[in-house]
Amino acid sequence: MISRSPLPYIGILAIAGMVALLPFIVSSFQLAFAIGLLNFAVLATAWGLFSGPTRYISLASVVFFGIGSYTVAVVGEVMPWPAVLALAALIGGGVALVVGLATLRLAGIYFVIFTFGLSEMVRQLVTWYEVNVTLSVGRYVFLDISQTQIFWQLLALLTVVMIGAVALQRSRLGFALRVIGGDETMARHFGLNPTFAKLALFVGSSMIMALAGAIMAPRWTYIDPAIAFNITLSFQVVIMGLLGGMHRIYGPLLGAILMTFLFEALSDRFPQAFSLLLGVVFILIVYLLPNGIVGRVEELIARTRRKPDNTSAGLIGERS
Amino acid sequence: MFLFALLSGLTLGGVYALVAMGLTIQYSVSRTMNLGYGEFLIAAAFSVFVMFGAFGISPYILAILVVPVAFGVSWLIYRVMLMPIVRRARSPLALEIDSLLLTFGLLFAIMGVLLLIFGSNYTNYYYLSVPVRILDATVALNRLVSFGAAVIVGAIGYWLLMRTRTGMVLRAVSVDPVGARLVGIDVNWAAGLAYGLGGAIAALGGVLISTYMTFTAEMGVVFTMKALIVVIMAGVGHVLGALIAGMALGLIEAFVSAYLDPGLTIAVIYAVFLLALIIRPQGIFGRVAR
Amino acid sequence: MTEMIMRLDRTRKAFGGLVAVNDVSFDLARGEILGLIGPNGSGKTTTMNLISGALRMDRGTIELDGEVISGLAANRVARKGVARTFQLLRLISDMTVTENVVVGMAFRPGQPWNEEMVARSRDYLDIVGLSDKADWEASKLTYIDQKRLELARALALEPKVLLLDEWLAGLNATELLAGIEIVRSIQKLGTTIIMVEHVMSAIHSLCDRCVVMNAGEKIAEGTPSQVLTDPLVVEAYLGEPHHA
Repeated sequence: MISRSPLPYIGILAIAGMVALLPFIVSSFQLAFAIGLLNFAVLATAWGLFSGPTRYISLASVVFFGIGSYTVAVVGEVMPWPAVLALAALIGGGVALVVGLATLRLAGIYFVIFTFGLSEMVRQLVTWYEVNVTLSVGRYVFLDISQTQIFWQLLALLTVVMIGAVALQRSRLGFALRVIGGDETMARHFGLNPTFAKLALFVGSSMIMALAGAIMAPRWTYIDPAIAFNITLSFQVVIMGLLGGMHRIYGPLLGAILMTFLFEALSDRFPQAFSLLLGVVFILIVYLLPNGIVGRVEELIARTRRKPDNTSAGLIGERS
Repeated sequence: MFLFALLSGLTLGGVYALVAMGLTIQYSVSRTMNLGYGEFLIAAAFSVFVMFGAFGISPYILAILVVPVAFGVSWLIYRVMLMPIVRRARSPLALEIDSLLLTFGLLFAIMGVLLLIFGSNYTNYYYLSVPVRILDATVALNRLVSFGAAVIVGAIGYWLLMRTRTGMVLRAVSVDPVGARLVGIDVNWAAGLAYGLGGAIAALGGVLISTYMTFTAEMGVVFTMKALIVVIMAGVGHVLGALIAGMALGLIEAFVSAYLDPGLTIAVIYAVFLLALIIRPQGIFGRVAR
Repeated sequence: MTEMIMRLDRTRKAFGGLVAVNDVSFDLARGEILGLIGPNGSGKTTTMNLISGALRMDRGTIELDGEVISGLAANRVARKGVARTFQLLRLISDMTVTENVVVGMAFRPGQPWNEEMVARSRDYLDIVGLSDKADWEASKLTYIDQKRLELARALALEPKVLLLDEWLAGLNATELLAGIEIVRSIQKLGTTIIMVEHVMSAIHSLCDRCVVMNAGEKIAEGTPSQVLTDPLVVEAYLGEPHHA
């Protein structure tokens, strides 16, 4: 529960350090794939950070991702890059705060339904603004940021998110989330404010997604609301989180890696049937891996371990 | 303009009310939220479009074929896809999450099939698009007929639910599934029936809307969302409330698009939804929060 | 006159037309054990829920150490120093015994987040006699041990007032004696206790005073032997299975 061991941090940094060398050895095509993978890894991890402990399934990842991208499209050329990123995170966090304040005090179902339509609404609002105020639907993003730089930025973001996730798990807030997830009513009677804890996490998770969207924006050169707020992305992120297992920090990361390869294979071979296959894969995961791959592996480990334990447990039972 | 907005709001609201009634029956009886609900509507719209094009039969007559098929498919989806989840669920919360995720997958699967067959183009056809003059405004005949059909079916549905034995069984399960089981009601049978009814009503809504609205394979999400908003705003399981709120939604949409901007309808509906969640999360007609 | 730690002043709570707690007032002296008794449905648990902030009351006030705590949310009431156990146990089953105790400690005002809490959790487990099972998973405990753990977690909040909601219910004769000893030892440590209880022998041996409720109203107040011979109380209990 309370651990100060630096090992996980060192591990994360070491892996990140090795991955950082990738741009020097891979082709530009492979690098583009790696960027897509890193992006999903960040989004799925951020998603799991909130939806895992709270069990509030967010279907609105693309809203915050899109907000990040749009921030870059609007102010990318007039502000220094770090300020652009900061602004993207702030706007994403602000929107999450409003959404969270309205829905997180209610039962999870209201939150899910609200996030379900949120991307549609934001897309419509941005389209309306662009059509009526700027008088053109699309925008061009011309920034002097190379693929390699995007890769490193995403990797840095993922590293920070992973380290932050480990630190969170060891912190009082992380413990609070476990308690809230265990029994919200009881948690209230021991001084916890569940709504506040959920809100803090939702805002944090959304800021990360907005940052990912901002970092990815220069790849597109052209964006419009339909591209930036495409609900399929939210769906993909949920699949990844579920496949890996959202009750562990590294679950969504694992899911993101596996699914990115699967998406690549599917969209290459069956570009027409992409949605259908996504839907089918998703349904299969819900049936077969309700706790994700990580959950299944843990079950198997627990089962093999329990067998030799059975006898001793029986003895204790007899004695008492 | 006012009269025009009123008429198109009423005709649209009639269909929304009907569709929301289907979803509220489905959700309150089966306790599983169906995010793929709007796909039934769109799928029905496409099948009518195809058959109307091929045989030239009136969409309203085709509904007699499409609606029972939708009932069967929806019923099967409950029995085959959702029952295992219901059996597995250890708590109502787990069931809620599992069913949400499952039907989220269903949404993409059905949408994927539609995309595969029809692509992502906007589709429409012309049937009864004869202008009818009412006072100062003109309305297409298909809108009026669809509205009439929605009102008749909605009224019959409401009457069946309130006055028949089967309707009472459904209402009993929606109020208290445990208690219903104790008095000998087969809750799974009721949930399957509710699912079938919901699918059938959604399909009917799709048929009615297809006669005057342009639709795409990716539009199901929007209808699901609107139906969900109506159901939540009315208070889950409150059928009359869903009918009223659905009507109100159609009117809001028509007036926003007439006086403000057609591109802002969803944004305004969402603002109303947000307000409702903040002020009365149990629903406007609901008594207690679930 | 002993020093007051808590005061309920005309508290009232209605659910629709049913008045569950009807203008109930009583004082709680520092260090005492107050029994809150009465037939089922008389409003005892609702009163506890009003004190702990689980329910918002319609009118009246509750003061803790001269400070009004009524109207505060449950988490704020807890941080002011009111802890409770739950009639239906509410432990986190996939946490260890120690972790469950830390739940009580971790969110007190001014509590630093450090390993010391793990060491200190042992003190509370000692009081309830559970320290030998500190590393067990909570779900593996027997019923009585889960009850002990509920109590240890409430103690870990270091409350000024401890609310025990039928904590002794469902125990067998030996367990009951042990339970009574544990509650007494907690009182000796200086904690003030309100207990809702049906077990009359426990009320007789533990409570300094009793408040008797019936149909939402306070019908008697005094020492256990006084109130249990009160004709009103006898009438309220007549035919009740728990009548001692």
